[in-house]
Amino acid sequence: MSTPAGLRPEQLLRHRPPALLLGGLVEATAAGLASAGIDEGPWRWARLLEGAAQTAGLLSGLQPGGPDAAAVIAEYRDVTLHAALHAGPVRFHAAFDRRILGFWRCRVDARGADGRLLLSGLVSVAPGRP
Amino acid sequence: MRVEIEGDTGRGVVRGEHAVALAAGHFPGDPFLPGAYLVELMAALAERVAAPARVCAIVRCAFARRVRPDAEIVVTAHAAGSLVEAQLEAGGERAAHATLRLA
Repeated sequence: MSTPAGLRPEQLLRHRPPALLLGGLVEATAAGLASAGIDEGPWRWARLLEGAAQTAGLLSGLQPGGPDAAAVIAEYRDVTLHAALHAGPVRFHAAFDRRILGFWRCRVDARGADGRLLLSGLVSVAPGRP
Repeated sequence: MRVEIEGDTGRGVVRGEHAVALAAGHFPGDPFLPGAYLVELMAALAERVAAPARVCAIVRCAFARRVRPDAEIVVTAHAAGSLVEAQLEAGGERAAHATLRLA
């Protein structure tokens, strides 16, 4: 996975405020991508899920042959809502799980500053329509 | 959302201004609602149908098409035990289907 130094989420994502939920990349390794939430909330579970999906979109886009900024979410699966609402900093993590047909499936989670698990599940990213 | 509940089934129509707010910034010049917020709309109706139970997990949610904020958005949900089957239509066409788990 190639991750240019200083890469900002908005360079790869079409999202713009208030839809852009990632403030920056925290860590990029072969095992996955970690990003910081753009603010300290409040983070209702759907906003956590969207932030996790944006992180999955970034990770997928960084894979060889991965989708571009027109990518969309095709499916959520086995998503557990550990917290209905969270106030404070959030960190998202996405790890590549597998390719399924034309989709990139990622395992994602969202955690609070203390490491507490707020949300976890699987996100499938699809290339956007041409 | 304007909601009608009958037994273990519900139907909701999303207010247009709410749909526009949910699509803000997603994306400039090509607005459509984020999938996570479509799940949230279905979960909100599910919790009205199954009150006081709350949605604790998304077993599966699949998206069939993009949902523009100017389309009429209609959500339906049917509760059966600890699960709710929900569907979202936009402009009369099926756009998403979800199975949600209640706690």
